[in-house]
Amino acid sequence: MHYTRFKKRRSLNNQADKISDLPRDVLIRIMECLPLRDAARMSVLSRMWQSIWTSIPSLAFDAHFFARVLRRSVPETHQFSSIVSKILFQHEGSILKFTLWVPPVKTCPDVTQWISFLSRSGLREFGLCNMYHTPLKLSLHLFSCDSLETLKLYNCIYSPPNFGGFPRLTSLELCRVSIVCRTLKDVIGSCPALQNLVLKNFSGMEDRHLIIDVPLLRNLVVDGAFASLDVIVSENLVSASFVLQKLTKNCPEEGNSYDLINSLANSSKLEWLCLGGHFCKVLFEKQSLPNTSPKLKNLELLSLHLNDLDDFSSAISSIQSFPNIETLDISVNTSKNLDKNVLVYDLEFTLHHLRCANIGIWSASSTELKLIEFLLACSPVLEKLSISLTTPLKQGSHSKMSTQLNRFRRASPKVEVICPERKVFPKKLPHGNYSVSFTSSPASQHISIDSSSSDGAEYYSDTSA
Amino acid sequence: MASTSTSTLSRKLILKSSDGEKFEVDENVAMQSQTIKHMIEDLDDINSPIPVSIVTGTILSKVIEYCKKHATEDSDSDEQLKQWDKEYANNMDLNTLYYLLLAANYMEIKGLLELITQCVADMIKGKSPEEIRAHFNIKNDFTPQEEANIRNENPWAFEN
Repeated sequence: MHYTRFKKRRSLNNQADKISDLPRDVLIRIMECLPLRDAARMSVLSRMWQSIWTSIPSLAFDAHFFARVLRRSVPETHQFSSIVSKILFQHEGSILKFTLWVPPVKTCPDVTQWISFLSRSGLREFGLCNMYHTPLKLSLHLFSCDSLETLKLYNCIYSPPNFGGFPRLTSLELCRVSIVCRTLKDVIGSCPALQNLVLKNFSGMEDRHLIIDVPLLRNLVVDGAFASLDVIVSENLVSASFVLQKLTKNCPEEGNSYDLINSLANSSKLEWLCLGGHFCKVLFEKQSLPNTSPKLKNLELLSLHLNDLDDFSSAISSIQSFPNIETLDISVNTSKNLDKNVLVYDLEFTLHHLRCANIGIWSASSTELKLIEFLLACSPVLEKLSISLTTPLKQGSHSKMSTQLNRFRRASPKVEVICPERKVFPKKLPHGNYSVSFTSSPASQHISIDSSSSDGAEYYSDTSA
Repeated sequence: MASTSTSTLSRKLILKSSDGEKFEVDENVAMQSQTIKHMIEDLDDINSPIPVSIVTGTILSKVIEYCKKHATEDSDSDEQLKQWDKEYANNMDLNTLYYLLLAANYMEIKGLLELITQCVADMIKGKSPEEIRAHFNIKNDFTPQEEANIRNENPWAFEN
């Protein structure tokens, strides 16, 4: 129908306003593709465009928007508030998607009345990213918003009333959120549709036992401080990340960590697992190797602490629990030099499928190097081992590391070991490849030193001799 | 003209444009359109031409070009496909873009609709209201007073 009207007009007047003749839902789509400021400017074009603007179902107040309209690094709170309030209260019809980036304004803004307004407008997606220095209080109305499908909060106070949960919620992400709840059950309530759950850098659960039991969960991240963790692993789980940032006094009971590793091991769809902070230690402190998971392909050990023997052996145990991994990423947060003779690993163990490993080291300590030695010794098909630095190394440690790396036995004949570059080279090196001899390397091995920085120097050992 | 092959992969459909032009396409190409997908489900004889009543032959051939490219996923990387999309949209004049929007909306081809709406939005982005009106021939039906009132409602939107 639109089309015929469209055509007639065209034949009468070649300069017809074709865009305004498009179906209303197409015009709404066009406006939704625009940044908020551009969309607001459309309101002045004509009556029709004004009515599209006041009924646009998604509003995204982002950092770019406020940088443009407030133009100050620390804006006045009332200016910020009046812009948001005006747009919201001019609006007619439902708002399905609302995201708000709160700039670092002078005084704490009040967002509760906006939330209570939005909670009555059929909201499906809500995101609040707060850059003001203290966490923002939310309105209780948020928790009565039954239509919510996606909820993402940053730097807020999450304090739900005694509520039943969000029946349609598929994704919940809480980052730097202060949680005021007795149990995790109170945090998420009952969300039968939840597939993505991210709890990152949260506070308020330091002495709590977390139980996560979400039947349809596909992606799970728990990264913060908590006393203990129990996960009923969903059969749909594809990726999972557990990071314990602080070691608390009330260590979990043995049974829990055993159950977790056990159920992760049996999870058939799990493709990626990350264990981090002190979590490896908690998992493996009391039992050496509870179970192994033959299915997992990708493992990450994040923000590891390698300060004592327990740390070291739990890291080794974590890797040994997943003998069929193909990729491994490790980043070390803190580490200490320990006596090499006490750092031991199972010489018989083999990672038959490991092809690619990345290790971010902290200080090139004996513990870190032992971990690298272990990986090189037990991975017969390893193709690439990349080492990067989380902090710059002293010159002495750097050359010591390079020498030692060179001595490690390599189970894989084709492994390429990539070392980080020293921040400052003692001498300016000529451009292009240049050879360094590595006496212990078999013919096809080479060590290259990452040449991403400006001086373009690259160590390359071509030991064809 | 229609192929009577029994294999589902090579089944052919005939699409008929509003001006009577016929296009033979693979079923998986035509199925990019939700509207056609639903039509086929209700159709007893898939050999008879499927009318795409509001789309002209010129536009339909462009729609089919898009659908063909997106029906064979494995041949190109995401990056290549994006580049192809960009060139495809950039080669259209404003007139064609309008008709493509209408066609993609009617035929329910999500990817094409998103591509063209984004393309039109990019033309609007950064322009002043006067420039947008001129570019799209939008007639201002506000009185000067009404327009001033709207500008005063959200003054931040109109400051440079």
